Amino acid sequence: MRRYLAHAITRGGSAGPAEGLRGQPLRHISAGEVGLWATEWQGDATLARSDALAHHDLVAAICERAPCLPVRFGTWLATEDVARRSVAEGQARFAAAVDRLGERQEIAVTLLWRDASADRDPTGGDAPARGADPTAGTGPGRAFLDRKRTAHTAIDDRTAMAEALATRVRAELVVEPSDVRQETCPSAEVALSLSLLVRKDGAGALRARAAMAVADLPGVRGVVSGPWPPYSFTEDLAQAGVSGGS
Amino acid sequence: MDRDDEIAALRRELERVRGILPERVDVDPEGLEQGLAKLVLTLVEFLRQLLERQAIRRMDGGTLTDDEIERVGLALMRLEQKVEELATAFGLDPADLNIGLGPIGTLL
Repeated sequence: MRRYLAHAITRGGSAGPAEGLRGQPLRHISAGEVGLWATEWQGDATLARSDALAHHDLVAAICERAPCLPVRFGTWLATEDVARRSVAEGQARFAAAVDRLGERQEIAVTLLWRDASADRDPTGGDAPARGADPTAGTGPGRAFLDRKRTAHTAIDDRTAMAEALATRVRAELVVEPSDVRQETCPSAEVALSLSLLVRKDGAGALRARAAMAVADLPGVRGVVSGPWPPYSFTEDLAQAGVSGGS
Repeated sequence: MDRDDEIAALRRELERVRGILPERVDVDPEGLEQGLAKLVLTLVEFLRQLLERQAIRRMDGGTLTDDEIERVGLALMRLEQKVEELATAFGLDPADLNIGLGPIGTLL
């Protein structure tokens, strides 16, 4: 069965890489002002981690040649007509987004808790919970709620700490709010995930400033990654305008 | 927290969820059953956590008797166990019961 795996949107028919994922044909599906780069896929559509990395490399190669919008990995189009129609319906929005984002890249700042276990159930299920009334009955129902209260308090404390760190890092980096995507505590290990939008010619400088800003923060270890195509800023476009057709 | 505050808090949570749930479900025949189970169990777990926080607030506010605390706690504990059992039965890791909400994070 043939289908299309989307990679990026560009204006017009700029030149692209020679082939798509797994050596399959890379197609440029034109729709008015913009066009979609997609792998023409034959066979099993189960994607692997290696495909995600190959998609990333392919998007980077397309974006090197011309201003482009990366499309979220795993976006399938059932047929060429569906692909063309999906892009055509959103072409004005996509063209505006290419103009806004095409010459920009993304830097990722991640803060990892040094003690990632602190927001798991701190009582281990047995110890007396913070805030518990020691004179009250301790049946299994009350003990359950006491444990949960302690766990919620720990999570709330961590979230407050992560938000304070985010405020501090953002203040040091001085970036426009519209150029930042922020997630606090997206997982047990991660305190903060920041995606920063920057012009290509300023990416190196922002990366260096970000590395300095996170070098000595309490309780966390900072990791700065990128630059890469601005995936975090185009995902909503991809979801809204280019939908899966599997 | 009085009853009006509790209702207002619940309404805010429901408004938040209504605005973020996906409008489409990816209908893949092979993964439909597991995908549907994940969606339903995630929503059940979301509501269970909402009730859990509410029960803790009321426990701390002194508006529940010892007997009520015990019964609510037991009910929530058993519901948590049941969600985990069902998740496992559908080949899901209970830790994966969540919905990505794009730029604003995850539901749980």
